[in-house]
Amino acid sequence: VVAVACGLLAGGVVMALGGHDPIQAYFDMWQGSLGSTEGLQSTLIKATPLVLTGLAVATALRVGLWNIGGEGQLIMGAIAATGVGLYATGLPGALLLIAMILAGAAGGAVWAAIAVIPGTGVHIGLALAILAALATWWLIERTPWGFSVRVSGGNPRTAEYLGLKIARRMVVVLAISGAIAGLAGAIELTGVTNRLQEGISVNYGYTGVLIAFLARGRLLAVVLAAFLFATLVVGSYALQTTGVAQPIATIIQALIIVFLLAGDAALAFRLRITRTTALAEIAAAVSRP
Amino acid sequence: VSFWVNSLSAGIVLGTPLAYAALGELIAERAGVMNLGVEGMMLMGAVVGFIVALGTHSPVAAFAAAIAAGAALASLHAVMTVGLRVNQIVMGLTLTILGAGLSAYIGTGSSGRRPGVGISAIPIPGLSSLPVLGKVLFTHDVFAYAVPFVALAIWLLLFRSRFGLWLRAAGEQPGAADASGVPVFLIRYLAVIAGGGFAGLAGAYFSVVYTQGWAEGMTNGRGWIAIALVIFGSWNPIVVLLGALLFGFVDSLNFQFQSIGVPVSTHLLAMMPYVFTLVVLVATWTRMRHRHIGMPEALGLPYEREAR
Repeated sequence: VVAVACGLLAGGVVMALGGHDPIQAYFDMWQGSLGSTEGLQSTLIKATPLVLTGLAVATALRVGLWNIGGEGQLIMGAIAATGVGLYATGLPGALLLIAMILAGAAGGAVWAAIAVIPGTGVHIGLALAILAALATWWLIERTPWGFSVRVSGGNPRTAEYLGLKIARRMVVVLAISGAIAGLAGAIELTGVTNRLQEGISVNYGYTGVLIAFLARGRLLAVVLAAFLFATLVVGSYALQTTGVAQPIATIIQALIIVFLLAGDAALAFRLRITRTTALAEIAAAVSRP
Repeated sequence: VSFWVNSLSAGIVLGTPLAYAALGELIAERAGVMNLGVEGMMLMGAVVGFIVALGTHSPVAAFAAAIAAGAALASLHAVMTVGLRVNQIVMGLTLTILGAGLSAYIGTGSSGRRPGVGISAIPIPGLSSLPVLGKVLFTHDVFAYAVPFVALAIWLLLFRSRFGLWLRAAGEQPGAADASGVPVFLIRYLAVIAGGGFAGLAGAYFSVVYTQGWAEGMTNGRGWIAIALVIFGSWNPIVVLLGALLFGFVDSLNFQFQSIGVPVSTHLLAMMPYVFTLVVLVATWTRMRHRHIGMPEALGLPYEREAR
């Protein structure tokens, strides 16, 4: 929270340097993103792909990997969904199969699901995103398999002693992660743009990494972090009328992470004295059984 | 024949900025710091170089400013990752996004304009009139001519100088290096900042020399390619340079095929360099599994004195 405040503050400084009134700008952003019904609506729309890409990254983090390819996976998901929608209209079974083979394209299956629900759009997509967050959370945090994944990611050496196949878990989790990002693409396609276009992803993949980090890799916190970032993005659209460039949202997002990182580091310095000794003891105990 | 000559020649032009960015990243990674912010630093270099070119009509000032901009962004990375020891991957990505945002913010008023100056190609008298080779190798600008020497200089610095030994030690065994009196922190700072300077230069090459204009996100993922090239070249500047030129060549085929009207999808061709990179990455990785060469051992790991 402190990092968010600092990020906003620093963003204000940037705007002031650019010759704009930051207070007015933030007021406009608030109006544009949360203060009105349409604003809130578009914030929710924007949050949907971000929840998913953030989730994709956070999931992969659980097995100790950084999935920074969410951008491409999202696009592949959108493409696969289009393909499925265009050519495989009659075969739901085969359709499912194709979608599962293409890990990044699990969205293909969902595409069909969305298509049969009348009145597609924002809310179904968002509900799906939150559902995906809950499902992933349950899978990783509440099942034995999920525990083994967390062990593999958290302490590979322990996992090896236990005889877990780390590589296999990595691949499976990455596939899930990719599928979630693909889902984002499919939902964005069916819910928002309604057709495949270049640049369907506006840095969603990379922003997802930041979101996952802001959420500290916690799967449910991802939803909140994504919502915050969506607010910033949608709010920044409102700024265009006042002449402040829209990229300010990107800048603020990055600054928030910078402050978060710096804050972490500062905390780590303070805690180090007490913690190093304890950690060293544990590490020594684990490494020499 | 003219088709291949054109492609090779254009490949050198496209490969030059990649080579600079990749060489910069190589320096940082050799010192043990991964900087995924190359894309952001290139964009900052591109926009700052472009604006300075607009204002001063001096290519020298433009490139100096671009290098400074890249280095400034890199020093943020250095402070955060070397000084505060935060996660290098997260910080690098943040840097990319920050660079993309800042450059778009700064450059809002400048898109669609032309810099008014450029670095013109200087055909080398005599050599440039050689058949085939002349056009391919000797009709370029200063930066393209300089790049092999820069790569060689970096190689000499890394592998034939005491400073280079220190730098590599900081990337392989920072603990041992520190114990034997090598200023690990200073070296890591310098390496990251120098790397940023190279990325800034590469960015300005795009905006001032190559496309002669600024557009949001104009580097188009080239920063990521530069990072991949470092792995491709197994952290050896000479191989990295060759990789960059090869990549530039594959990239240029796209335009060349279009200009002679080969009926292949342009999107498919545009994808080629990336597929190529992917294949090379997998190949390099397989090779690395057999022989343990290349990757600095402490790459990506923050160094702290008190630990262990």
